[in-house]
Amino acid sequence: MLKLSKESKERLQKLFKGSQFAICWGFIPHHALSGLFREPQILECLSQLF
Amino acid sequence: MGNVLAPKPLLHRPLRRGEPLTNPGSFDELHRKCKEVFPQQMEGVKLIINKSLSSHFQIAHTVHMSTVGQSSYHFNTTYVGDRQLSPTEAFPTLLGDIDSCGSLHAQVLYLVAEQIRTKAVFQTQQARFVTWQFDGELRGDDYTATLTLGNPDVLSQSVILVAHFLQSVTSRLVLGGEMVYHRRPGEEGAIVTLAGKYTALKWVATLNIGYGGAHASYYHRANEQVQVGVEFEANTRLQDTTFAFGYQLNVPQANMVFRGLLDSNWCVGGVLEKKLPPLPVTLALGAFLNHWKNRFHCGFSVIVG
Repeated sequence: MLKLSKESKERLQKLFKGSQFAICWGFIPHHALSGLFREPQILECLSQLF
Repeated sequence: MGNVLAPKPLLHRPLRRGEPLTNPGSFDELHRKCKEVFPQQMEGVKLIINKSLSSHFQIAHTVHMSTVGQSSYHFNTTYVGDRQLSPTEAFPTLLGDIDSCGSLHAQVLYLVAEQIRTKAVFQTQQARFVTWQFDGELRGDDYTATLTLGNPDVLSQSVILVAHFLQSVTSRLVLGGEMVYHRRPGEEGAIVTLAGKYTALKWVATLNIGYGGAHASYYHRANEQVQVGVEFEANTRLQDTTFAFGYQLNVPQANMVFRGLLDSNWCVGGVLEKKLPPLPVTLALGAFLNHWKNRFHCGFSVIVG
C-alpha cells in the first residue's frame, strides 16, 4: 500500500483539517450565496476548468 | 427425386420486436415503491416551515419538540440548478441541513456528462466528520453502474468500496448485484449480494440475497386508493429476521392519506396526513404501539408551505 513520509502525513493532515473546517463553516453560507447569484460559485469554477 | 445437393432455402423470420429496454434506476431505489407505503416513525411535536426564495433556492426551518430524545432546530437549504433531466432531477443540486448543535449534513449532486453523475455526501457530528462519501454513477440506456467510496482515509489507509450494477434483462425484469469491500489496517473483507426486480402492471417484487442476509419486498396497487406493501428482512450477522406489512389509503376528495403498519416486532402504527386547502398547510398525526415492550408514542406535525 501507499507509504507516506512523516512530513507528507502532517501536510495531508493539515490539508484535511482545513478542508473539514471550510466545509463545516462554508457550506451553508456558500449555499445561501448560490441561491442569490443562481450558480454555485465553486461548481462554476470547476465546470470552467473542465 | 429432386436435387438433394441443392442448398436449402433460408427461412427468414421477421425479428420479434419486444418492448424497448429502459434504464433500471439506481440500486438504492430497488425497494423504494414498497418502502413509500410504510409510515415514518413520529414522536413529539414538529413544525416545518418551507419557503421558496426563488425558483432555484428554497429553505426550511424545522422545530422538533421531542418526548424521547433532545429537542432540536434544523435549518435546511436546497439549491437546484438549470439542467433538468426529468421532472424530479435537476443538476447541480446542493442540499444542506444544519442543526442547533452545529451538526451538518451536506450533499452535492453534479452531472459531469449526460450519462455520468457524481455525488458527494458529508455528515458531521458538531465539528467532527462522521461520514464522507463520494459516488460516481454511469447510467446507460439499459444499465446502471455505480462506484462509491465510503470514508476513504489515506492516512490510516482504510476505505469502504461499494460497487453496484443493474441490467434490464427484459422490459420488466432487472437483475444485478452489489459488492461491498472494506479495508482497515490488518483487516479486509468483501460481501457480494445479488438482486432482482420484476415489475408487472399492478405489482412489483424485489429480492436481494447474499451472504449477509436477504431482503425481499412486494408492492401491490390494489386500486386508485389502496396500495399494499410487504417486506421481509433477514440478517445472518445479527441472527435476526423481520416481517412487516404496510398499507396506504389515499382519499383525494378529503385531501387525506393514511399509512398503516404491522410488523413481527409486535409493533402497530399509523400516520394520518391531511392537507388543509386553500391554506398551504399539512397536518400529520401519528401513533405507534409496541405490544411486546409495552411502549407507546405519538406525534403531531404541521408543515407550512
